[in-house]
Amino acid sequence: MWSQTPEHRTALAEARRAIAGVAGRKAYLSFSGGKDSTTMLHLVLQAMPNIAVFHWDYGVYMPRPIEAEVLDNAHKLGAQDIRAVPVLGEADGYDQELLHLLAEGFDVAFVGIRAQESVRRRLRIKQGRSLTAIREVWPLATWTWMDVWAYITSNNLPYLGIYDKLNELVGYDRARMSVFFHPDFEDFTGATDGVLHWRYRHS
Amino acid sequence: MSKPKYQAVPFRVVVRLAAPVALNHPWLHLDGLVSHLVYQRMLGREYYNLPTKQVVHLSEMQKGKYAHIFPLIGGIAHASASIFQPDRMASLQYFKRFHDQGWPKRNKVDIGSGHYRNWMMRWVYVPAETATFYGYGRIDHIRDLMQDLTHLGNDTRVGWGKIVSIEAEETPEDWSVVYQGRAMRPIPVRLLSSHSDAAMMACRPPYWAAASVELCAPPGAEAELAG
Repeated sequence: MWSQTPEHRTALAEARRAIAGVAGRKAYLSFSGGKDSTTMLHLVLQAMPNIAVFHWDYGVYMPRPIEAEVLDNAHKLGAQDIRAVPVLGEADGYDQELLHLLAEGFDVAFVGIRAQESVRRRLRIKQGRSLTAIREVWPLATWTWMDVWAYITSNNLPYLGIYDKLNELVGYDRARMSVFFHPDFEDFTGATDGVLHWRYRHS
Repeated sequence: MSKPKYQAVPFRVVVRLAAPVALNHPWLHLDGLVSHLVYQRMLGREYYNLPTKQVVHLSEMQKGKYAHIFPLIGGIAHASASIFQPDRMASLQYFKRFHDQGWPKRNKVDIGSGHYRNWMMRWVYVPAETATFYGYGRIDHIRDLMQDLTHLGNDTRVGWGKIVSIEAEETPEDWSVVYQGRAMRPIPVRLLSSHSDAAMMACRPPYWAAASVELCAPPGAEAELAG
């Protein structure tokens, strides 16, 4: 089991250290519902049980049964302050929400990105570059896909059923959750959505 | 009145493949394939100058002898979706990135656009040896048009779906729409008396157009035609 290895224990310790480092700050957590944010939510809730959990709801690009599963998993993990924010319909949905967050006094955001995911994310983590005025903390920055799945299975965490479908086609190492049929995410999903999730193409 | 030389007959088209078929949808559709070949045959190189996201209909006169290849049932053709053999899927990822090939001698390199843009593409493919379609219609026109077909599926420019041979032969029964109680193609539920599954999907060419979408029983679902 990978969860018993020194490498995984080191990654786990690093994540806990990153979470402990923001003690006393007003933090929120970005939760997509994917495997990384599921893992991060479970870790953060152990230190901050009342943390605000923000979830972007992509509307038509996220089929309602899967959206319901995302929110259900957040509840099962123990999140109490879950805020699902619709981001479609307004051109500046993200900016509007950022202003609300700043007005509420949030100054730290937990974001579940990993350096292993892409070159762009690796450089972003290396440069310590946050996307907004709110400083980001990346507890899983050094984690590998094996660390994430080892944590999920060893803690028996709920995860989205689409990962098992994706695994049949691409393997758990490459299975990524994204919104479906959204032009901005074509690079991540491409033809896979059309074949695996054809049912949602016109939903 | 003399019997026409050719009339609608049930048939099967077996496409033998030299390379896996890349897909962005679980099925290919015989009527979509034939429609593509008819437009290509009638318009020639002009076919590739058509607007990409706008449906262009050819009149019956423009389609000429290919106007009525398949008899229609409630607006859909007697033409099945593809049956791949073996029927399994796999995927392949292609990357272009420079960080492991050495960067140019400058401090900042834009990896989001331009020459050094990082690039990834995932292809889903079916490593099939044959693709079989069932139809009911003018087999003589099908044989004629299929001579133009060199590849099946997506990204044929890089070799996916290369065809070795195509055989069209008559069959004793029509399996093109429903066979043994199972839908062989997307069938609008308005044409069915019962069905086990339904989803919004395209059921007529062009299959990419939103106007072709309606509530259908997908291929493989239990279905019984009304009347």
